[in-house]
Amino acid sequence: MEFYLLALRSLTYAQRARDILGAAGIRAAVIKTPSGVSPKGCSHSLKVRSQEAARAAAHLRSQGINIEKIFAATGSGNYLEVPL
Amino acid sequence: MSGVVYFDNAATTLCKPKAVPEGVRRSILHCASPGRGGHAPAMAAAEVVYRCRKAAAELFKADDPEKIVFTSSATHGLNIAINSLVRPGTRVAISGYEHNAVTRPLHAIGADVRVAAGRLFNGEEVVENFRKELENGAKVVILNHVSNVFGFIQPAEEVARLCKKYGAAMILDASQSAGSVDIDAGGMGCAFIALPGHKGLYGPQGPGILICGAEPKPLIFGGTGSESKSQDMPPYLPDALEAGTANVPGIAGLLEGINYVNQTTPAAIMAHQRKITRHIGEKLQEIGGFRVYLARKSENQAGVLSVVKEGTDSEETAQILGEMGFAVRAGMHCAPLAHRTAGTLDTGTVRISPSSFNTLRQADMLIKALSRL
Repeated sequence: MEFYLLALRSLTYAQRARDILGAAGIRAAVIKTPSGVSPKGCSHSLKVRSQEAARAAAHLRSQGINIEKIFAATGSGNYLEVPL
Repeated sequence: MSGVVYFDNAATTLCKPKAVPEGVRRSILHCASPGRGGHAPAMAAAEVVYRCRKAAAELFKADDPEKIVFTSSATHGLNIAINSLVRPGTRVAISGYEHNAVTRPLHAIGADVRVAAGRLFNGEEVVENFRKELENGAKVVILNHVSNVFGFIQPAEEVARLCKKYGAAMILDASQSAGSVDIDAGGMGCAFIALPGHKGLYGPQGPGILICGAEPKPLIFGGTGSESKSQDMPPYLPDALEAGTANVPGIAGLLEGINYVNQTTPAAIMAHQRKITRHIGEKLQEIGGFRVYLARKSENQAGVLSVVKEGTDSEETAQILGEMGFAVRAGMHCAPLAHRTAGTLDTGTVRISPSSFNTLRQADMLIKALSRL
């Protein structure tokens, strides 16, 4: 399954962002950010479906949520940072 | 409650909504630690904690759940708040009804403390005395929203407006008001509001809440499950102040307590508690032989009543009541400043504090017992 990760600064922030997306009808799950793309150590991300990633990112930004980075899952546990 | 008629709810509410112990139990069985793993029990814990933040943000009208920080008590929260704003020599204006949870940290820091003491139940005088202290250069104001000894509801919103006008930071100690007085954290603009979970929010002993409106300084340092490669605490809330494993069972119980308060409403809880304390106070005045600290205007007093049986030591009165099956608290209530302000420092008082679950029948039983002393 293809998905995107929206990396956020904290668990609570990610939960808040998830709720904002949920209210807009966009499903997202809070997960721990994979170590390989989490340079500061432990953090949390929102996992969203690829086809909803751009809308999700735009909606969060419109609500004042700061997305640190966005990654596309490329399969086999690899992630590619993408501009969205 | 093994036959005890419990009127010591200003210390800790003993009778809880049924959902509170159930929430604690569920959490112990199913929740691990939030932020410490991506597995289901860790994420279940994270959801409980987040739901509690959201419920608290709703109750206290905080604009953002991230500003809701879980502490180990209101005292812990007050220590964070005071240590964030006060340095040796900082001029701090406090009310005449502060608890040792405020006065001891200020004493330890070496703050320049000024007491803006107003007479009991005289809110106008409190406001005027804070105005004077702010004109004289106070940089920080600390206000006990409801006196834990006398139930005096101090004019928090008026004092908050004064603080805005004079550019001072305000810390609100909402230990006795949370759950029975409406608190508009967003509107008041306090730097910090500290409160316990185990009193008027009906949670278990343990978790407290600090609502942060200013930049806090961490009091303890450690793991947060975020930015682990850095030796600095994360700069954002709530992580900056939540080092160490969260008290998830306590927070799970607190969530259910807050849900109860949100559903019942603080106004209804206040009305019930006030009805009971006024009933007891007025009856004791009729009986005579008691000094009863009852506000002339009921809106100036929450559901906390202090009395003194003339000629009897307060601790002794409470001890006898205890032997008769009534739980009340006597003495200084960890607030000698409040007793000094009200003129009860030498005698202390017997404090009667009902909760949402006490009844007028229990109040009549207590009145009868007191009348026999």
